[in-house]
Amino acid sequence: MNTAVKKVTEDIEKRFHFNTAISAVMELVNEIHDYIESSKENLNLPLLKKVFTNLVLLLAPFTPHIAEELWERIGHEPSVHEQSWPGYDEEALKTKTVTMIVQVNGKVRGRMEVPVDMAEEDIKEKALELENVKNHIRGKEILKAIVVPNKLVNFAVK
Amino acid sequence: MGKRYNFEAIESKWQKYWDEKKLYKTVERDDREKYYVLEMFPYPSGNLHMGHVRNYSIGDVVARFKKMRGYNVLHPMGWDAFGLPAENAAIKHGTPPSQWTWRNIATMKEQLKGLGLSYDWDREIATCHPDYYRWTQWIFLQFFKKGLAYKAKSAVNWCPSCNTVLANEQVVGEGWCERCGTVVKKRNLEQWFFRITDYAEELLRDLEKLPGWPEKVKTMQRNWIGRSEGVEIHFRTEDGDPIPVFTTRHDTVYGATYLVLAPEHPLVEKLTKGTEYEEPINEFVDKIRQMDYIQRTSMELEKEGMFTGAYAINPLNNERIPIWVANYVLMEYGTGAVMAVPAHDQRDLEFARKYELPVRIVVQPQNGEELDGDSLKEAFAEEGISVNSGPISGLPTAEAKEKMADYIEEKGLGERKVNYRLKDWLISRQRYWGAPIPIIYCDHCGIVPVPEEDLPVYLPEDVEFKPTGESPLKYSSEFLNTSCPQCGGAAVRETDTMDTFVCSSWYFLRYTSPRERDHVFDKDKAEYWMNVDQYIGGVEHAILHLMYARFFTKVLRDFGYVSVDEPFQNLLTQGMVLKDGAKMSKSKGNVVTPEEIVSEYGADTARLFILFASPPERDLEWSDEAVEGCYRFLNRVWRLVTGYADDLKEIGNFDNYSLNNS
Repeated sequence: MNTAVKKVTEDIEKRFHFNTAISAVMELVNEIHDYIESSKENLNLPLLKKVFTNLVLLLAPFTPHIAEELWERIGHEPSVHEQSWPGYDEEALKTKTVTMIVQVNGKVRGRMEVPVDMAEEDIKEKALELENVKNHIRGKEILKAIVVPNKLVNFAVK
Repeated sequence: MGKRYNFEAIESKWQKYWDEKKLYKTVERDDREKYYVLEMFPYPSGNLHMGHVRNYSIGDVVARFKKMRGYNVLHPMGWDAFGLPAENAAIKHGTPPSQWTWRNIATMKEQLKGLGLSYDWDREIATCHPDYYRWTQWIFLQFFKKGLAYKAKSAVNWCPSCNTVLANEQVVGEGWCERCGTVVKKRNLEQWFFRITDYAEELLRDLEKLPGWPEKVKTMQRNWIGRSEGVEIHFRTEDGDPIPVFTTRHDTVYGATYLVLAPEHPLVEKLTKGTEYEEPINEFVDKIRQMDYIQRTSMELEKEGMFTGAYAINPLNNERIPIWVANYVLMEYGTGAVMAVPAHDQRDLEFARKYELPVRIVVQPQNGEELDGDSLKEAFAEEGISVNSGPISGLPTAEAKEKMADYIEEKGLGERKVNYRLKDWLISRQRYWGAPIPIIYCDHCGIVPVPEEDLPVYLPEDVEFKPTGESPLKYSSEFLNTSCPQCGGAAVRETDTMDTFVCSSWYFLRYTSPRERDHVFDKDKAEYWMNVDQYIGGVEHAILHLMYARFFTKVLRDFGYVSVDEPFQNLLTQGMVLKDGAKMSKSKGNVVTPEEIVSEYGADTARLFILFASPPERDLEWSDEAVEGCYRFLNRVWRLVTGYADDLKEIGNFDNYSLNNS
């Protein structure tokens, strides 16, 4: 959430890159979707409300009508267009880390702690340093490395 | 409202709500920082096109975002409502221009509201409204009082199809009318001008104060102002008549082997009168005057000229050189007279070879190559070492220029001068649908300005529409006949109206106090809101509107009405909307109208697509699939959020938990 807010804010404010700002909102929607799917039995409704609230605020400048309607439907007083833009915590973003899964040919061979949004090249480099990963790659050729940011990296080897 | 994403119901519901609550109304307030975002106001053609949607969607995101970021945002809209299409419609359909225009404004206003744009409609202005154009006229009077508006006879650009005069800026491409593409002709007419050249230097210099403008636009303005440093040298005829000549290559003055006058130069007649050359020269001059602007300025122009029988004296070496008239010299540039140095100027060389005039080398290349005037194939226009040039012989070009300029000034043979390509702004239009120029002509008192308290000079309704070269106002006796404000005698009004670019040169100031009755605008409010923090519009206005608005701001500052030097702090020039690789146009049949998209998918989808498809400065390629994609995305958001809406309604106040836990 924090990452999306920061991205949308900076894309609008500094560069007028509305296209990439909207992409970030679309990604956020995917993530929310995944979160709901993965914790269906056990949804944290206050958290969901907060996330929806921020999503609607981010959409408001681009698609003002649907934002206003959804704002009301999740229980806020109109108008969404008189609210403050959501803030984000720069520090939290800087220090935050995620655990990524490292796979070789689709099988989990290790986990690693990395900063959020680490560059793909750095992720691969770091993953290849893991002892167990080295063992499974040794003597083989790496055909391809697929990185799913902040989630996993998979090496296809032969 | 049901479960489905019913954009029609949602959009009309909230547009009504925003309207009723006056959600976007803005007033001055001290507790918030101000932010003025402005999109170039449209001409009310009657229909919104995708270019408009793009322009205003960009502005609307900025306005809404800044408001949410805590700024007090001014985001107004209005109508650049005078101009030719209304008259053409009147001629074609018999509808009076004012009716046609106001009807279009009503239609387009509805279309804009349908897009959910956050304008403060209480600030709406239209340049054709008497409450607006009375102040356009008032500004003209201030210009007149300060000597910044003047009348002069001049060869003007004339569009034979539109039957009107065009400013230099409205002659585009290779001499075509900006509006209809017809080849522009020259005509001599009495015209009103604004003295923009008084501000040439500042308009150039202050471009440096605009880091928030695209470099491309600033370069276009710099080129249009076209500043060049040189020397005006006092050539004269054998009879002693002065022929001032401006040149940036005064280091080549010893190589001048003939002198050329523009056909329109006043000396041409004097030099040939009563001589055997009079008749052929007159015929030749008439022929060139008939030529198109396009041909006169083209590099491929076949150079044609004729000897006048007269000679000029080069003041540097007292050499006697022939005076010619030629088609490639224009009265509008420099002094209308050129010293021809064929060895070092390609056009002069082509002319000299054709008419067997001497070619004398006065600059040799630095690489030791020795040029010869008789065999020279191409003019040597680069820098080198001066030769056969009196006091500067042996000097490299840069140094030679300095020394020659000093020498010419010391001897009183001329002086350093800065020349601009920018010419005074011709504002007279022989049209009806514009702001009347508030001037009265009296046989006794001459040119008399309309007293300020008599403004506005109303446009009459009883005009006749004939596509003649003269203003239809000339046939309106109610308008035409008046009494002189000074002597009370019978007098007539000026029938020309102002270029519509005059009206749009100050509208951004009027938005700050649009209903002000006693002044052009409220000074305090203008002080609060100016500058425009973000201006957004098409790059086609890079030199016309954007130059004139800067000029007006500087003049109004000098009059004491504003304190800013520049009107627009940041400028964003949005790209075009293309379909199948070409700009949308009726003739190409590749138009997608905002109406069909809004009715099929809703305004939010239209906005989202147009913002998502491309960064704002770049051209945008229309894609039906991408529109579909944006529509699907909004449906997804709709299902996602409304799926939990009932559960979430119960959840308490959002402020109870921190944003950082997510």
